[in-house]
Amino acid sequence: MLENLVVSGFKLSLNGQPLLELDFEVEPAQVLTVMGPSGSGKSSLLAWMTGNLSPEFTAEGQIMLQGKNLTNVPNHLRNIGILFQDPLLFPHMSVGQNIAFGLGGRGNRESVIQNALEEVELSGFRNRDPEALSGGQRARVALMRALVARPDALLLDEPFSKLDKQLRESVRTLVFQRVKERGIPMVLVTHDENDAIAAGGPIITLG
Amino acid sequence: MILRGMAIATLVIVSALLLSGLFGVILPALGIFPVLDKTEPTFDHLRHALAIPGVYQAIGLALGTGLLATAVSCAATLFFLAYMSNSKRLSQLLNIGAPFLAVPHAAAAFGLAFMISPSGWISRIFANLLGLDRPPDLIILNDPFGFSLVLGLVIKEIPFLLLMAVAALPQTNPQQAFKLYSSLGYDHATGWLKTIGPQLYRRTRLPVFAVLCFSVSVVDVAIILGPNTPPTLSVLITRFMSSPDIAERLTGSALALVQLAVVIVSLAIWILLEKLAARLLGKWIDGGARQGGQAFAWIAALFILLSTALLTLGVISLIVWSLAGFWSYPDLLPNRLESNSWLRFGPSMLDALWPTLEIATISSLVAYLLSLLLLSGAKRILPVIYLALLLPQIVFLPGIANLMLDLGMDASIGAVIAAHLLFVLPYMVLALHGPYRGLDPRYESVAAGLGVHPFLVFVQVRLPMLIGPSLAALAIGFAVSVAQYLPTLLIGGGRVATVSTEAVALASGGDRRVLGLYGFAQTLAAVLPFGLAILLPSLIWRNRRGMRNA
Repeated sequence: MLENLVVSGFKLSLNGQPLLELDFEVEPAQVLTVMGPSGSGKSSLLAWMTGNLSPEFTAEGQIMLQGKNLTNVPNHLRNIGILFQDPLLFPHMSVGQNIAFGLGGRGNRESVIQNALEEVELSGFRNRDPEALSGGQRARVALMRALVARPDALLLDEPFSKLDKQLRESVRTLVFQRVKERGIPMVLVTHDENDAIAAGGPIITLG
Repeated sequence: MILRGMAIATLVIVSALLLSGLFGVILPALGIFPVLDKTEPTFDHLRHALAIPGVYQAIGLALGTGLLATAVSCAATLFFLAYMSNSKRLSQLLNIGAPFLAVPHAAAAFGLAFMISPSGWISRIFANLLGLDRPPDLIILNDPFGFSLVLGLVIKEIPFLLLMAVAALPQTNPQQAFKLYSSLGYDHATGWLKTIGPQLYRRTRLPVFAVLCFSVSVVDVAIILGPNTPPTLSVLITRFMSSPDIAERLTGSALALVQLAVVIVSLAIWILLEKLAARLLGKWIDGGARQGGQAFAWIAALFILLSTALLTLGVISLIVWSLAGFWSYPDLLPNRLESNSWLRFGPSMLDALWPTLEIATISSLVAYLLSLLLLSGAKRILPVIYLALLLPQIVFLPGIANLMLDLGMDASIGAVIAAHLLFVLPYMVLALHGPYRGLDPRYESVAAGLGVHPFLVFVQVRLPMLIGPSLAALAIGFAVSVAQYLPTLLIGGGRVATVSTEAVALASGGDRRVLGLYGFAQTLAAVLPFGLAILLPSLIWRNRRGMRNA
């Protein structure tokens, strides 16, 4: 399928030492889970896919999305969103500004922001300071910030690992549901098996 | 790629200026000075320079005062940090120390002079206690051995070294070491000195070398506090280089070359002293003593308290003298405060203040843009910029002045601003480096993932998140420019007058009311921006808790 996210011939090395070799294909609305101990290179895989690999690593391989070869495309033109274990809301912007930041000049900005906040039950929070939000609320804002940018794929770098157990389940359900609704491929990196089970897709175990 | 090219170009220009300054002084020192139609190499000028009466004493004074001031400041800083070891208040030192760092050298020197001179505040206190009614007949200021000069350097260098050391401290994992040496029965100071001290020193070696090179070649403080007959080598060079007779520059350049040798020798001696200290420390560590450091730590704490008090009271005495009416010895305060000096000397002071502010504003703003360029475009070769901190002003500024003369360039305010940039830029890069590199790179990954162009990410994410450190860096750059004396004097060719050049020129007159006024104005111009840099971020981010302690 044309919308698939395809990684082929990926080889990662750290300071010349080979670390990891991978090939995979993810369909729209599917979650591929990559599991492995820390240091196995799973976060670097995501960094490479977004075009932000740190200079001590070298990688070869190809990444295709929407039928286009993205391997040499600058990171901001790849249209691949990423969520980290910290929500990383820009601390100098309000909640609404955080969402607006990913919106560019598309459509009716104000109504998109309002709808996005409503979708995660944060309607009255447009002008709030992100620091005044709870952990779960911040995670929801981070998700919507990523989604209003209409990415062609979403990468998740242990996005639930810092949430406590109850919150983790509800945020996880929300993330998978919202992303699947939008019909884009996802890659999830985690070392929590429950995440992999909830994702319900193929699993690659490293190391 | 464009950024990288521009950053490298900036570094090339800076190094080219420093190198041309070096050549501009070496060639005339060896007799090649086209503007005087001299093109035959000769050692005559060097020989002549070394035959000036008192020149060897001047060299000795430069070496002695510079090394002593650096050693005292360094020891006081290290032992004081041992005293503070593992204290929670250590991080507050950064905020408290910054304004002290901003006090210009010349103003601090005037303040110190008002404190320690035979009729100064300290002497007045003793006179009241002992019932004396005449100032003691002692040469304290401008003493022939340069002790007051050393003191003047030390009170300004301690805040600088303290800030540099506190900034580097977290890299040495002090908490872990504290747990370890406490569990082995070491007292705080001894354990700190044996574990953290050496690591911390290694990480602050560049600032220490900068302090040493500055101290053996300082001009303004040496004119105000240093000996006169003979003065230190750097003051001697300044006299020759600012003489209206251009032929004198040949001797001045020869002396500047000697000064370069003096700086290199002082570095060599310092490295030997380091080896000696390492040996002594090694023996002390081998001995396994659990106590013994605490006493030194106490002395250092007392010393720092005194030096801070001297600096603070000195600045206060500037204000008091500028407002003083009749003030007889040994009264502690003038019989009344009046605005006469302000009204009489204020207008001419303002004439010097405006160019000061103009030069400081332009050079700090330009340096800020260049710092951002260097930090984002030139990661590996960045240390080149710190060369300007190691190469003494009195060596290469005369060279640049000579070249300007050769090339027929006019002494303009633009040239002075360019010269200030050479010193403002490295300090700003030094101040911004940590915060710039410390920003979590994942913010920019997230932003790129949202499809935002890197330039917009820089302007909308990185810059606003760095507003606090940026304002602090701008304040530092501004203060560095306000304090500059030599670049304004030598590159401005006497035609650009700032508060610094005017105040130092007035120093020999010794009118305390005028000096108080100029010193106070200079201090205010340097310290006020620091106040803004501390206040503004909490105003801008009053609704953004996440930015408060950034």
